[in-house]
Amino acid sequence: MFKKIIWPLIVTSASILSILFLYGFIASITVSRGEEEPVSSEDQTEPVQEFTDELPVAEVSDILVMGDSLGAGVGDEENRGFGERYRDLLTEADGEERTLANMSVPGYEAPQLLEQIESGEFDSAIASTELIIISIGGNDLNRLQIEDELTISLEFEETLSTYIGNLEASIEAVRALNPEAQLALIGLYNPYRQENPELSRFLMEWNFETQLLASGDDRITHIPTYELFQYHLDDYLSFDQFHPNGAGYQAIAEALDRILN
Amino acid sequence: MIALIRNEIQKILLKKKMLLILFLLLIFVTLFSYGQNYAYERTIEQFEAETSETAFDWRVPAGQRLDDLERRRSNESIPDEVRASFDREIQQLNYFIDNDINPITPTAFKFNAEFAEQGIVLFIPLLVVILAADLVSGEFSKKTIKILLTRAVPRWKILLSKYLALLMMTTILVFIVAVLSTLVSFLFFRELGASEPVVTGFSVFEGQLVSDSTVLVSRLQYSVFIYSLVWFVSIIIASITLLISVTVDSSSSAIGILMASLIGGQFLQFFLAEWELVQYFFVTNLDLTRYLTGSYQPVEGMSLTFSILTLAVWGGLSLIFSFIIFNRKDVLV
Repeated sequence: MFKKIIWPLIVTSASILSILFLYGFIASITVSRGEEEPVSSEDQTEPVQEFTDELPVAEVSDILVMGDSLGAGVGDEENRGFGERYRDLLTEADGEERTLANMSVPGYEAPQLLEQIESGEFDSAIASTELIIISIGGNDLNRLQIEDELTISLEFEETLSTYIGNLEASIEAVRALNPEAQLALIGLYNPYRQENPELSRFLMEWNFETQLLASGDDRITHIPTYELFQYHLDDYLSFDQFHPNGAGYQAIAEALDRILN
Repeated sequence: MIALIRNEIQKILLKKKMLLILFLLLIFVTLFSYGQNYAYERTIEQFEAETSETAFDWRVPAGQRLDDLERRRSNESIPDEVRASFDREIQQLNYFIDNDINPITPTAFKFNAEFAEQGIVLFIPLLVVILAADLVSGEFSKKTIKILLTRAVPRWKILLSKYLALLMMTTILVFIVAVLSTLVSFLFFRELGASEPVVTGFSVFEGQLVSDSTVLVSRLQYSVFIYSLVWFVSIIIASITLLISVTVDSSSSAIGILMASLIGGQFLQFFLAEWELVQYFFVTNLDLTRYLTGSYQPVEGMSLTFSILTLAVWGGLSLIFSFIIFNRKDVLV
């Protein structure tokens, strides 16, 4: 029994499987080493050059939204975001049609926003607008890992000062282009359900620093969202449990309307 | 030589270790797939309760994600390789939408890959240790080593035949893990999902996860990748176990030593992640599958190639030392 059936069975299956596994092993090494092909510098610069020819943003607009995924309206079922919702609120109030431009890029952090503004590609859009709504900082803060308790405070301070520095520089850059426009900074809310006193403290400090930045200038407004979302996470968060849903964006738009006008 | 290997295989089979391993596997796989099925149903229930919708419709979030990706894709200022990685995700989402498959539905192939990803650090090495620990030390404790060595065969041939037999059984063991986890979870999920696309090939560059080099492969292919890595890890563990088994005289201390180093190695990784030497310890490098999913980098500067080389050195050295020790060992039993 052993000699006739089991032994040949084991030998053949073991050798076939070894070949299969060896193939898979080599294939998985090749797959995970795919990154080592260098990306030629031409590929990287090309899209930027094309970019100057045609602006995706309307050259002239009354309202300009910049920043991260919140500005882009990620999570909104109707894909409108607070920008469009706010514009519609304004139109409802006085019947006047306004144009809206959105240059938000999901995933952006404060340094990238500064880069975007300084790139010069949006100069005309920034210079011509009346209201600039900026939503930034969520990704900066979210990048922190709230696990290591010893270093987290230090890291937080560092992230916060980078953020404030970049935001200040961004505002200055915008001011240089457009000294008249009203600026609105969207505050951060807490998308996490569990009570984490540490995280709340960070968020409040973050919002406080942003607010301080806004308080020095009449034409910069801080739009608080923390209280707005605090007890309404079920109603205001989208499926991904991080971005607002339509109702959440509507709430932000209403806050904008209330505070700005 | 072939007769010797056959003899060794017969010995391994006679010890009924394979049965024990099969039994262990069956229990764990059943528990896990039941648990996953349960968790999945709970998630859907919870979602339905939260949104007070009658039926869970995954197309809403998937469609939203797709819109978002399309929008980001059309942004002129993003580099080409980032756009390519969006394309792959769009392709993946389109597959799910076209074939009407909920991306979070548990499938048998998803489960077998997950099982291997979780088991590669501790569970599967332990199964190999069970198989291999008494390979030589068992001969000592049962005093059969004398009879074995009185044959007119050089010692290295005896050890080599034992090692080859072990490799064959390890290969089959890995295959059994794959088949069993697929079959059992299929019974629970009723969904094979072998052709579902999956994104792999992430890389970590300067501390940031880069998805530029990712490729789309089918679940079946992905499982082959994962189990090939498991197979490699198992062979290395088998070689290290052989060394321990040759060095100590009792099987229980062999199992003890290996378990201690496997579990201790995990601790080491947690507490001393900053210490550079940790990355040269074999336990730290066992988690090869994580490099494919791109979720993980235990110590700065480690990559799949690095881990494989480190493991290969450990395996090779263990093998060399086993042969040296076995050749010189005094047999006093």
